Amino acid sequence: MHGQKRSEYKSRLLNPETSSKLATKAQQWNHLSHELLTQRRRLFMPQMQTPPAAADAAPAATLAGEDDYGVVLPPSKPSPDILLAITEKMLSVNPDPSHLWNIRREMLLYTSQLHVPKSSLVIQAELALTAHCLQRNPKSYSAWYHRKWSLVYSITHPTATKATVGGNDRDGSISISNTPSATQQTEDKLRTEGHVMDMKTILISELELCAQFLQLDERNFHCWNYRRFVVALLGSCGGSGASSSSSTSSSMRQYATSCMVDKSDWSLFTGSWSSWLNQSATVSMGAQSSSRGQKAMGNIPSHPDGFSIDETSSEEAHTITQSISALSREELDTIIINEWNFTTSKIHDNFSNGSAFHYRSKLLPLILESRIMASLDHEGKGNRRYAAILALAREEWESILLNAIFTEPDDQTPWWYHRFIVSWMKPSSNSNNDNDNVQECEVLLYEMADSLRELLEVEKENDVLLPLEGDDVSDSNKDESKGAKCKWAYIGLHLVLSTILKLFISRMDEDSVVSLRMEAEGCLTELITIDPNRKERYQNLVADI
Amino acid sequence: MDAGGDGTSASCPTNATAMHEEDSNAHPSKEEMYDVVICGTDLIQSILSSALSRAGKKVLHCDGHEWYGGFDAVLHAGSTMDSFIGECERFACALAQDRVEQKCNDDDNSNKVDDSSTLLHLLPEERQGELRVHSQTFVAASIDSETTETGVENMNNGNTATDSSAGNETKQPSEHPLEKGFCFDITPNLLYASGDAVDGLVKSGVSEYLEFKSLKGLYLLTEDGKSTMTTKGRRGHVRSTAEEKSSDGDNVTAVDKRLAIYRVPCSKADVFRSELLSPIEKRRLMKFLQLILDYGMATQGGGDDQTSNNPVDDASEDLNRGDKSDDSHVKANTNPDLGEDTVKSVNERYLHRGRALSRPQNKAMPSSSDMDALLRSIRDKLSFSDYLTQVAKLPSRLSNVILYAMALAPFGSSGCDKAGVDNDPSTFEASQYSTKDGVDDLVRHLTALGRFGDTAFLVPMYGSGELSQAFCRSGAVYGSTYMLRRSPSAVSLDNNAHVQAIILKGEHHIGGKYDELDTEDVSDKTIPCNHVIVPSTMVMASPTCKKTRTHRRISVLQGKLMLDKDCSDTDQRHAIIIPPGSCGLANTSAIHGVAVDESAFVAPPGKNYTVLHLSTSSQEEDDAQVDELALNALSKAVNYLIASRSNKDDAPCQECHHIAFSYATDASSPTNEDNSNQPLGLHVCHRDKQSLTVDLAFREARRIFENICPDSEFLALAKQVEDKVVYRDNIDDDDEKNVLESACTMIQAPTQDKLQAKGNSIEIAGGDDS
Repeated sequence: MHGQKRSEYKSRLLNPETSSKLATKAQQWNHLSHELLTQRRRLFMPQMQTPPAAADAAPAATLAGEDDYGVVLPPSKPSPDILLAITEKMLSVNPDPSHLWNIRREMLLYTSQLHVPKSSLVIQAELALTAHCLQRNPKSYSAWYHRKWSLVYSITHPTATKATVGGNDRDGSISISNTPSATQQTEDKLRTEGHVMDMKTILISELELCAQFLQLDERNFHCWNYRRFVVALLGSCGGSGASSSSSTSSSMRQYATSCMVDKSDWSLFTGSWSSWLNQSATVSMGAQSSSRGQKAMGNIPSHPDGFSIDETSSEEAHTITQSISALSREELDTIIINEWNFTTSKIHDNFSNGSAFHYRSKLLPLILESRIMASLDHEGKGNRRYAAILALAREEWESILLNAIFTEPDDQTPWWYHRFIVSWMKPSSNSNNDNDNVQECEVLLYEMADSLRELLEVEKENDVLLPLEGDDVSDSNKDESKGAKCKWAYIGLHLVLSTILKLFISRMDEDSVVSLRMEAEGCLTELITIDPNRKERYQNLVADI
Repeated sequence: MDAGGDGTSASCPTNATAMHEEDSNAHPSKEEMYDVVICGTDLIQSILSSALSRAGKKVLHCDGHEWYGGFDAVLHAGSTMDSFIGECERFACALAQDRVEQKCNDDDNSNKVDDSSTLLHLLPEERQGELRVHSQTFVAASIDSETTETGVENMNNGNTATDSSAGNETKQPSEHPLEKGFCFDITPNLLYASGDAVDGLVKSGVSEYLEFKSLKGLYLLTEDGKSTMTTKGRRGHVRSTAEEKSSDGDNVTAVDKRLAIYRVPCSKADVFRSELLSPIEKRRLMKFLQLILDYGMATQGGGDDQTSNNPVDDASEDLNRGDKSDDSHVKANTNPDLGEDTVKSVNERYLHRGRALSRPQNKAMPSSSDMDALLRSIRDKLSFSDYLTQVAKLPSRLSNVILYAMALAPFGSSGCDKAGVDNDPSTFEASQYSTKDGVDDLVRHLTALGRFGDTAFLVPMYGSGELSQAFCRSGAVYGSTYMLRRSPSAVSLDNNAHVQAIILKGEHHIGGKYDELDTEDVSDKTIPCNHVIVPSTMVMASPTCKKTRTHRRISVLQGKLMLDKDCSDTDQRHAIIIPPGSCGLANTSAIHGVAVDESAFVAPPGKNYTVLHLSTSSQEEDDAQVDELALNALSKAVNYLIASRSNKDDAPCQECHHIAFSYATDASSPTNEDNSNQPLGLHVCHRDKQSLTVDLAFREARRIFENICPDSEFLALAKQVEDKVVYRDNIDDDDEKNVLESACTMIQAPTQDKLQAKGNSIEIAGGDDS
C-alpha cells in the first residue's frame, strides 16, 4: 500500500519501540473520538434544564476512558468550538473517517445557525485543513468532499461565511446589532459583491492548487474531479445575468446562465457536467432555486432538534444571482481554453492518463462552442457546427492520438479516447449535413484506417524471421512472438471499419463493401486468437457485421 | 631537465602540507615513503586520490598547475584564465624549441643514472596537453551590463581581427581583468542521473560537497523536414518533397534553413511529443529502445551492480558474456513460461528504473527474434551503426539519431558524410564502435532517464570542476597530501623495472610572478613511492599510437539560446548534439554542446548571458589544416545554433566573447594498449576522448584502483562517517503523535478553564479517580 510492501509495513510492529508508540497513538485516538461523541451528544441533548442527578448519570454512563484523564464534564452544553478543534486535530492525523467530517460540518452549520460571526465558517480555514489532510492522503474521498462542500456552502451562504481575503472588516459592525437596518442591507450587498470577488480569486487559486497536486500525481482522479468541479463553480459565477438571455443562442451561454440560477443545484457541484450542454434545460428563477437548494442541502445531516439548516431565503438567493456577474463570457472562454491547454500539457507529460483524456472529452463540446462563437457567424449554423466538429476531431487525431498510438500501441488509454472521438465525430443521422462535411468525415475515417493498417504492418515485422547468413535461426519459435501483436490496433481498426460501413454503406460500391467487411472480420478473427478471453464478444461483433 | 637526485630540496611555499626536508640521498625511511604518487588533479586522478586514501594508502597528489582540476577545472575568467593562456604560450615556446631539438634527442626516453635505477622521463609540463589557444576574446572584455553595447562592438572588432589570424596566439593585452569576473568550465561535463558517477558520489559521501540541477533538454541540430517515410498524410508528403527540391541549391541560406533544433526523443513522453519523427519512426524507435532496455535488464542481472558490466572488459570476456546471455536466452526459449515470467517480473520489479520507457503492465511479451538478432550481432562484433541499419533495419536518419544523440557516440560515421569530407580519418573509428559498446552506452543513457528532471543528465552547479575539487577535498580528509605547482619530471625505476621514486621538478623564482621580492628557488626532489599514477599525456607516446585532439570553443552569448515558448522558465541548461557531417559544417566528429547560464553559476552574472561550450575532436595530424577545419566547424556551429533558435523574434542572441582552444588526448583506449613493457607500479590513466558525461572517468579510476588495491572497496565510506550519516538520517519527528497529544491536552485544558470560569462547586481533577 502506498508503495510500501505489506510485509515491510507489518514488520515495523515487531520493533517494540515503534509498536508501543503506535499503541499510545491508538489509545489517544480512541479517547479523542469517545470524547468527541459524548460532547456532541451532550450538545444536542434536548434542551431540558438538566437536574444534577441526570448530569451525574451522563458521565457515569460513558466509558471509563475519560477517567484516565480525570476530566469530569459539566452537564451544561459544551461549546461547539471545542468539537471543531478536536475534529480538526483528529482529521489532520487521519483524514479518512467520514463521521468526523460529518460532525465537523454539523458544528459549522450549528455555529452559523447561532449567528455568532466569530465562529462562522471561515472558508480559508476549511481549505487549509483539507489541504493539509490531502497532503497526508491525496486520495481521501471524505476530505475532497469536505473541500467541495465548504466551497459550495460559502458560495451559497455568503452571509454566513467569512472570507478573510482582504478588506472585509465590516464584519465587526454587523455583529453589533441584530436587527437589520437599511444601511446594513446595503452593506450586506456590498459585502456579497466583495464576497463574489473573493470567491473568484479563491476558486482560481484552487485551480493552481490542483495543478500542483497533479504535478505530484498526474493520475489522481480525485483531483481531476475536483478540478472539474471548481471550473463548474467558476462557470456558475459567470454569464452576464438573465438580462442578456436573449442572446443565449449558444449552449455555452445557456449553460452559464442556467448554472448561475441553479447555482445551488447539488448535482452540478459534484463535478457532473450533465447540465453543461443540456439544451433543454430551462432557465429557472430564484424561488425555484431556493427549493432546489433546500433539497440539495438536505443531504447534510440534520439535527435531532430540527434546526433548519438552509437559511437562505429565496429572496436572498435572488440577490446573489443578481449581484454575481463576476465573469464575462470572455473570461469563461479563457478558463475553458486554459483547461484545454492544461490537459494537453498533462497528456504530453504522460499520455497514459485516463483522467486527462476524460477531462478532454468533457471539454471538447465547450471548446467547440467557443470556436464557433469565435468565428462569429451564425448563419448556416448546423453545417458550420459539424465542420467544426470534424476539424477538432482531425486535430485530436493528428496531434495526439496518432502519436500516442504509434508511441505505445499497447497503452489502452489513447485507444479509449480514439473510440470517443470516432463516435463523437459521427454525423448525426437526422441532421441535414451537407455533402462536403460528410465526405470530410469519410476521408478522416479512411485516413485512420490507413494509419492503423500501417501500424499493424510494423508490429507484424517482428514475426518475420530475419534471415541472417551463417546462423541458426530456426529455434526462435513463432508462437512466442504472437503475443507482440497489438490487440488494441485490431480493435481500433475494426471500430473504424465498422463505422465506415455503418455510415457510408449506401454510397459505396459492392466491391469495397465486401472488402471492408472482409477486413473487419479479419480483425475480429485475429482478435479471437490473440485475446481468447473475450472470444464471445468478438464472435458477437462478427455477427453484427 | 636532467633530474639527478641531488637531494637538496626546499619546501615549496605554495605547499601548505608538511613535506619534510631531506638532507641526504640516503634510503628513505618508511614514513617518507609514499604508497602512491598521483600526478595531475584532473577528475580521474582526484577520484583515485580519494579512493586510495580511503583504502589506507599514503597518497601524495601533485599538480604542476596552480589550480585544482587540470583540464577539468573551473577557471576564473580574470586571473586563473590568464595562467591558462600563459600555459598555452609556454607551450608555443616549448614547441619552437622542440622543433630544433627534437631530432637529436628523439628516442631519449630513458637513460641510466646508475646501476640500480633507470629514469623514465615524463613529458615536460608545457607539452603535456599540447594546449593551444586558437582565438580568444575574453580578455579586455567588459562584462558590465551598462557598457555591453560598446563592449559587444569592441568584441566584434576583436573577433574579426583574431579570426583573420586564427591559429596564432593573438592575445590582446590583459590590462582589464574582468571587473566582477566570472568562472567558467574548461571541460563542461554532465552526469547521468544514475550510473557510475552518481553511485560513486553517493557511496563515497562526496556528494555532500556538491549540488546539482537537472539538465533541461537534450537537443539535436539536424536537417529539417520529416523523412520521406511519413504516414500517408498526403499534405505532409507533398510538403517534404517540395522542400527537398527547393533546397537542392547548396547555397548557405538554404543550408541555414534546413538545420533545425529538435529535442532528442529519449523517454516515452519525448517520443510522443517529438516533431522530429513520423509516427512510423516513433513506433520503430520505441520498439528499439524497449529492446535495448530489456537487454540492459537482462545483462545487469538482479542488481545495480555495474562491475560485471564494465565496458573495458577485454574481448574474451565480452564473448563470454555474450555467450552467457545467449545461454540464458536459449534456456528461456526451451522453457517459454519461465522466460516470460522472468522478463515480466524484471520489468515490473524495475518499474521505478528507466520508468520513462517502461511498457504498460498488460503489454504482451516482446518477440524474442529481435533479442536474438541483437545478441548475435554482439557476438559477431558487428559495428553498432551496421547493427542499427542492417539488423535492426532502422531508417538511416533514425539510426543516426540513436547513434549520436542517444548513444552519444562522438566520432564520424562513413554513412552520413555526404557533405564531402574527403579525407575522413574517423571512419575506421566508427567501424570500431561495436554493437556491445553502443548498446551499453544506450543502456546507460536509458536507465538514467526518469530519475531527475526531464532528461537523463545532471548539471553540476558551479561547474564540473567542482567534482575534482570535491574529491580532492575528501582525499585530504582521508589523509592525502596535496602539492600544487609541482609537476613530476621523471619516474625512477629499479632493476626489476618497478617504480622506485618520482622526481618532482624544481622551479626557479617561485612566487616571482606576483612579487619579485619574495622569490625562492626550489630544486628537484626525489620522492620514494611504490605506485605512480600519471595521465596518459605525460608519458611519451609511442609513435604508433594515434592521437586525437579535442577542440573546444567556449562562447559567451548575450541572450538566451533556447527559448521554449510555452515555458516560463528560461533557465539555460541544455545539451546540444550536432552529428558529424551535418550539412555546411563539415565536422568529422559529432559536436557536443553544453549551454548553461547563471542558474548553474558558471556564467557571467546577470540574466542575459548564456555560456555555450562546443566540443569536437579530430585526429592529430599535421596540425594546421585539421585544426582549422574543426575550428571553422565550431564557429559555424555557434552561428547555426543562434540562427536556428526556436523563436528569434524576441530577445536577440549574439556571441560576444569566445575562446577556442584544443588539447591532445590519446586515442588508444586502455583496452588495446599493451601493458607488457610498462614498468610495474606505473599506472597511466586515460582521459576520455570526448564525452558529454563524466561516468567514464569513474570507471577509469575504478580500473586503476583495482589494479593497485585489488581487495579493497572502491570509494568506501569510513565506518564512523557512515554511522554519523545513518544517525543523521534517522532523526525524524512524529507529527502524528504531536498533534494527537496536543488534542488530548486541549480537551483537558479548555474544559478546565471553562469549569473554573463558571466557578462552580464541581471539583476538578483526580476527584473521581478513587
